[in-house]
Amino acid sequence: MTTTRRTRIAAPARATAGEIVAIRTLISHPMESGFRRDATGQLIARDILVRFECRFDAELIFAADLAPGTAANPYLSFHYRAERSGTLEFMWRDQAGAETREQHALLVV
Amino acid sequence: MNNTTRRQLLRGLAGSALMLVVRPLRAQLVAVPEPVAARYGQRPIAFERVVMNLPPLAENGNSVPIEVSVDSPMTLTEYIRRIDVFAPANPVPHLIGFDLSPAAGHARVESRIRLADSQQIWVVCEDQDGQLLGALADVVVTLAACLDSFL
Repeated sequence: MTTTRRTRIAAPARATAGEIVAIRTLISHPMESGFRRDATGQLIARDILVRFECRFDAELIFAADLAPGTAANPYLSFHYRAERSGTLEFMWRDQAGAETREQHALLVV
Repeated sequence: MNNTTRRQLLRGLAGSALMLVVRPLRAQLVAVPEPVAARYGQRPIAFERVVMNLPPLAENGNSVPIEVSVDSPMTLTEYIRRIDVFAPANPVPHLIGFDLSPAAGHARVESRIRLADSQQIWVVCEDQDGQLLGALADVVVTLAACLDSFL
């Protein structure tokens, strides 16, 4: 199952070999905690992203487990030591198993 | 009569002074809250090498920026493999967890968390051998992450 959500990736397109690059990601998602009530007092069902993974040419380089305590529109910032050119692949998975995917090419010069 | 020489006495004193300096750094000074123990048990946590950047005062608990950095070379033999953030007073205290690898280069992550109340935030980091490092920060939350959507 694949869904499309608005995502933003901030990462350099080029890096020198051995350079440590900063990668920042953002995805639009309400991260409904499951603890809030609506105007009629009914609990609003939980609806959250549970997992984020970043791979470089299929190798897992960073991941995060998200929870109701993660703020809405989850923002993640991490680093990667660029050694060669390749593709960064990003994946967010929600509690129902639906995945959102994104890619970013990294050219190492 | 007295078998202790002055030299021995000074050596002993220097030794105990060193212990006094070193031990508080490594020892666990505070009781581990239940949510942390649920994941890491009663394994010793060294409160060193970890820096948590969290505003001391958060006006809105719905989105509080947090940055965690660990002093680690991030090589194949010495790296941080996991960082967990806990808010013991939240209904779900485990807020977020990060899996890192030596490919990261820096052990530094950022995100935004929800806080239901003013409390002490715990960050626990695990290195390649399973040794635990930690950091604590107190945060005052003026407006808690709301439990009612109509507020």
